[in-house]
Amino acid sequence: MKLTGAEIVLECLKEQDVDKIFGYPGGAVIPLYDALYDKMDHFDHILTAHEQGASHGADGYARSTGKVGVCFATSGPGATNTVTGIATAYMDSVPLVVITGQVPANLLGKDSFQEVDITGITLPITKHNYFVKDVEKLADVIRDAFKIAESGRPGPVLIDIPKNVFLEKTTYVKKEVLKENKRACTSSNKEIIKAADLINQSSKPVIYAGGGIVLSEAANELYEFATKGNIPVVNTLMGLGSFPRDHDLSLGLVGMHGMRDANLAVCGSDLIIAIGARFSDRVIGIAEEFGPKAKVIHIDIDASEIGKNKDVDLWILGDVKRVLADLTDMLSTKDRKEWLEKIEDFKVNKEKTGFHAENILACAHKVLGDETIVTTEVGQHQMWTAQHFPFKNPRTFISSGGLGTMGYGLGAAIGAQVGNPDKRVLHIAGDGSFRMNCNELATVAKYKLPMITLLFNNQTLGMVRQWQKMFCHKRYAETDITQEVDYMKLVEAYGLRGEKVDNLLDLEDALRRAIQSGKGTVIECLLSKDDCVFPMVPPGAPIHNIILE
Amino acid sequence: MNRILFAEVNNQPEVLMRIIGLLRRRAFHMKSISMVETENKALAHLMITTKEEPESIERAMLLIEKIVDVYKVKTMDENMKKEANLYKVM
Ligand SMILES: Cc1ncc(C[n+]2csc(CCOP(=O)(O)OP(=O)(O)O)c2C)c(N)n1
Repeated sequence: MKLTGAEIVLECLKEQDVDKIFGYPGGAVIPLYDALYDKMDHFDHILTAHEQGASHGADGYARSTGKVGVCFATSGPGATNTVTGIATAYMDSVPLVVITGQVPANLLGKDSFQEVDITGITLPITKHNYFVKDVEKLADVIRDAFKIAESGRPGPVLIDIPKNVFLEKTTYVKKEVLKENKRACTSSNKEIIKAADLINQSSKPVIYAGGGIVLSEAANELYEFATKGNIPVVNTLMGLGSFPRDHDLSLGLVGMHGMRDANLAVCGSDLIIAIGARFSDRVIGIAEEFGPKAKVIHIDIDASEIGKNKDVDLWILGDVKRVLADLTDMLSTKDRKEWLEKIEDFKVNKEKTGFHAENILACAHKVLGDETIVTTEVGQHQMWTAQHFPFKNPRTFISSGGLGTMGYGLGAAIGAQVGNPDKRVLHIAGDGSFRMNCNELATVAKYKLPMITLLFNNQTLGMVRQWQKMFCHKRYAETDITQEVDYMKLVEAYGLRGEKVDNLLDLEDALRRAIQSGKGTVIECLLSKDDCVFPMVPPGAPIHNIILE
Repeated sequence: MNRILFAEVNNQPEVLMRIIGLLRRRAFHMKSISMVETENKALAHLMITTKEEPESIERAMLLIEKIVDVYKVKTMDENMKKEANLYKVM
């Protein structure tokens, strides 16, 4: 069967079971969209307001469903608008396939209209990228792109296709996709035995659980492992939800804004078991003082992570799901009572009253429940959410960890809602981040997405202001964003529901009304500028150096 | 002493860009760089002469190994390079 390049792209997406595409049309991809026009019965194309929104949408879709996110954009500015989305996905190991149009081959290298070297631009932020010159190679490139995006440590792959290649014809033969094991296990039994020995001998172990557990779908294995050995679990930002927060062994977030018991448990431990985590600077503070007396076991699929930020005593390379299952078999059952009691003493139990983030999040959790998928922007609201929302399931906390992209959360929420139409999606935003990409409210309206935004309006770029308060003698340079925008009018202009609240009772009512309405709703919460995120470890300090208020 | 970082790669300029890009970001010392097509025209040999410490070279190798277009990476000393006598500056 002879098909055009554009048709081949779509057939290959079908081979991969893709049915949702996030994108935005333009000159170089007109042939692709023309082919799509005939296939609307198979594909849902989500037209965003901006290509950045499309790339974050594909990312939120991927993180919430575990599938590869797909995004289309045109050449030039369309392609460059996806760059922040690609970099965000790259830093957090999210599988994306981004397909960009390019000017026709005969206009390449001539500074033609909307010509940009997008494969050059995205070299350092993609796992791999392709420029397809020949329609004969197109189908295999797309198949390889999916394989690369999903396998091993996942990541974004970009495919740049000149307009003429979309139009040229060649024979297309359908191929079954073999969903082989995506992650090879390379560790040897010897290392697993050694690790089990170290763990069995340890009286004060800590599990440091990262996003790799979510990626490898290993939450159940982690649960078995931790509970068999009674080993407390601290989570990285990306690892939230990999272990149920309401479990006695869960200590929550670790690092710069980590919980006191989580940070002090690491510092006092004699063995750190790092699983699918990368010892990020935001977690470890000073490498030598992150568990100064502890031996370190590192389990990861990516060899280049071993010893990158912290020296380790033993490492196991492989799929954490399989490694954990093997390791659990060799684990002795232990109660580790003394150690767990000691950690209990590290906890701070101080309830805040009033309309503060902590209580707002507790209220949202009470009304919306454990199954809710929560996305955030970047700033104080993000850290409060990570600290206080009791995540129980993997793929329910979706946030830009590595790149820290303000403007990520709304697009990601759209992607999560598209991928999980039956689940509740809650988008938590600071007012600064909200302003960055609130144009995507148009997408929420267009597709009638019933998601809820909690807009934490503290009238400031809160996280930056917090640093200015603590480290710059309260010299608040350019962090005030007071009063310029009437968010309720803005929301109304998009045809969505808006409510403004300043107390917990009204918030609860507003959330219930939002659920009942089934319509996209923005609930603006009025907060104080001066609320800060605590605990906090000053940048560059060891993580036992905790400021509590 | 100079060491040589050797890689067998797909014969495409993007590979060179990717490798040099990631070394540059880590401020990796590069005294000379050469990339030469092999008898099999689909492949090329890339050699980077460097004064970096062995640990730093090893870390670089781990990153280079991950690149899709790279088949193998190893280190050599300069004598081996003379023996091989295969390479010229591109
Ligand atoms: C795109 C982007 N630009 C700048 C920053 C730096 N930054 C980090 S947090 C922050 C403030 C965020 O303010 P807001 O969204 O209102 O959230 P809050 O901290 O008040 O909860 C800024 C400017 C960033 N992370 N991303």
